[in-house]
Amino acid sequence: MNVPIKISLRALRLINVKTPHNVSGCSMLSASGNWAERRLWLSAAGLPLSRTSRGRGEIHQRRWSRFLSQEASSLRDDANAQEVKAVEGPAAEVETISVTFVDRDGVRRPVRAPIGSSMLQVAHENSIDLEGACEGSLACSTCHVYVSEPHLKRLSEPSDEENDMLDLAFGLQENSRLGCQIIASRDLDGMELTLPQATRNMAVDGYVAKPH
Amino acid sequence: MRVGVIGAGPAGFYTIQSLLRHRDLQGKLRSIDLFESLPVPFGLVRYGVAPDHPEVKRVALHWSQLMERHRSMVRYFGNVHVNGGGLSLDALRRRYARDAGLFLCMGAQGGDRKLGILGEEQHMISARALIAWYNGHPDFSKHAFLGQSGGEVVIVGNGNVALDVARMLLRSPAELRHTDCNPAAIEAIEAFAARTVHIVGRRDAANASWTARELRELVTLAPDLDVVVHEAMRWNSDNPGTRPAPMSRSQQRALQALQHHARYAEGGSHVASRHPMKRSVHFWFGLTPLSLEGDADQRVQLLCAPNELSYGPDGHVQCRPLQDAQPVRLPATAGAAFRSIGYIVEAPHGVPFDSSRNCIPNASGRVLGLSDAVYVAGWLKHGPRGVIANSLVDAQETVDRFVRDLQHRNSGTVASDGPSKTAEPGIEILLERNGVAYVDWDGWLRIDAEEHRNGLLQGTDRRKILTRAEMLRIALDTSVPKTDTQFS
Ligand SMILES: Cc1cc2nc3c(=O)[nH]c(=O)nc-3n(C[C@H](O)[C@H](O)[C@H](O)COP(=O)(O)OP(=O)(O)OC[C@H]3O[C@@H](n4cnc5c(N)ncnc54)[C@H](O)[C@@H]3O)c2cc1C
Ligand code: FES
Repeated sequence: MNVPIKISLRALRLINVKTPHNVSGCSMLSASGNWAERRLWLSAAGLPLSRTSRGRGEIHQRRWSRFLSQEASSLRDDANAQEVKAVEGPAAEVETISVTFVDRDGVRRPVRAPIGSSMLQVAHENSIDLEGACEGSLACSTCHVYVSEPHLKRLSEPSDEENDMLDLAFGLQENSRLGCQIIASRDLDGMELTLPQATRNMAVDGYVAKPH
Repeated sequence: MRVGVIGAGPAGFYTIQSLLRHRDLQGKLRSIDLFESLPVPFGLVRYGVAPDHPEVKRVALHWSQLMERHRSMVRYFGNVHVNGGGLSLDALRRRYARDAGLFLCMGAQGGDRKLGILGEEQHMISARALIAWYNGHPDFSKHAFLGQSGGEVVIVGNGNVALDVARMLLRSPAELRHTDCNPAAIEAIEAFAARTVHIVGRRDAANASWTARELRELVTLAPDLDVVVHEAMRWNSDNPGTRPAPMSRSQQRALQALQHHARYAEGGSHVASRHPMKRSVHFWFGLTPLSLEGDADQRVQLLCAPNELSYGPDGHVQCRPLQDAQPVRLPATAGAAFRSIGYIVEAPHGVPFDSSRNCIPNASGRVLGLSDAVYVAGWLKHGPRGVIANSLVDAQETVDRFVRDLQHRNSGTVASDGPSKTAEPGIEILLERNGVAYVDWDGWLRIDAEEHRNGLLQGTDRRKILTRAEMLRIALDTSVPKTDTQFS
């Protein structure tokens, strides 16, 4: 049986994989690192990703053990070099759409969202106070948003798993969706996402300390 | 202003996060002191949430980042059991609740609800204890549960915790090895080899309190799992005027998931599995447990009466055990009959308690009946139900109330600091004077790093340290390397 394990980036640290803090512009291994970013980094580092679980940054257990024993030391410098490429290469040309978040104080915050990124990622990159406790793995419902009318229809129907989490969301409405499941695409240009108001008066404490 | 928070579970961390993010408190807080009775943080996220749900536990990483970002502001005092020797709640109230605020976030510490039936003390185990054991809680990690092999399980209760227990016992040990599950529990679960699990509830399926996600996960756990529903109740139709209360969206979807994946047994009788080679989960609805008896071959029998169900005036279902109906006997291996019918909140000494609502009486989080500024959040505030996400909304409400109270006290503004009237010694000095060896955040990060290192050697993300003594040894030994949260 192939059992994918979710590899913690702390684990990488413990085997001395070089940290990317010294790579300019790289936030991939920042504490907030989401799965898409981790995947990018893991593959850039030549880590064996399992075929079935590619999407979530999980790696194949058996190959991982082998990797640990054989490749840990040689990987280090190599990974660092490729990492830089991975970050600086494609990132520059990504097409974006415009999305407006309406925060808990009713303040409108227009931002640019790269095609293919989730609204949870976009919120975090722009210091918008959307929680995302499970980092997009459909296990928490804290990324709940209300979606503007014309765009709601353009989203694909929520999966059973998304509905399961919406069941538990605070202030559920007809136009409720989970931010981590909405992926920026061209036809969502101009979308407005409203954060449910549990309470007002929340400022953002600088959501992610972006390492430079 | 210095505030205190007791309990480092979801409510405690979300309270801290809400304090740090509140507009009107920016620049006003001087320190937040967090007290936790265990050396390690995260409450039920670490010791309740099932090990096979690492994605749920991931929220702890967010709290670690919060602590890291606000290192100079938030101080962690682990291994400090408030009111358990060392530090009293009264002392903390004097220190924090006179001028600023003290937040009680201790969860439900009163144990679990009992059925109150014959044979329960001898033959029934609390799911809470089993869960603490498989999660490696230091007070339970050395228990020996599931010692008897046989593979038959009975679980009384119709909530997510009951489903967690069923799923963990049916999960393949190979999968569990890649989680942070207590290794002794993995071995015991493997040796026990659950074959038949009976899940028992008093009401009907529509009124179960589990959620669709948990239910679907159990009923689709493995291809060799036979899922059978037994409806043992009789409906009373004498009172046609009363109608059922409308089902919540969550209840509807959970019911649909059950109907979709299960087959229904005829007449609620105890049918043998149609597929003798398969493992099975039996959902029994409409049964009231009456007693537990041990028998000669290391088994116990749960005797239940079928219920008569009817809708009360408010549309909620009511049940009454039928005297004339044939009782149902459900067999379990000795040591594998569990109850999971709810947790109990306990008010700390000196704080009022609302026993009917199983929580501390409060208005938007402000504890009622006390003259000083004491607040509650989490399970202590609204009773032991609800998911982690609820404690976020809940903590925001409590902190909002705290700010309004401050503004009221200071006619409109939040004063940046009350005059330091008392020359009380620092909290560290007080703890040291009382002989409490507390664990600070760096101490926890040492434990954390050690757990990751142990996990890595065994092909998983984390292997928990299982005793307080070992936790303290690592935490207090400054030569042990700690986790660099900047990186994780
Ligand atoms: C078995 C189980 C599984 C669950 N699974 C999920 C799930 O998958 N997803 C989900 O969203 N929710 C789940 N929940 C619910 C979730 O755990 C709770 O909603 C949440 O933990 C409540 O948070 P809390 O902070 O109020 O309490 P707790 O998490 O219990 O935290 C209380 C903290 O206070 C500390 N404390 C207590 N007394 C003292 C004292 N005197 N002095 C100092 N410290 C003290 C405790 O040690 C503890 O760390 C589960 C609950 C259980 C029981
Ligand atoms: S981030 Fe947890 S469900 Fe979206």
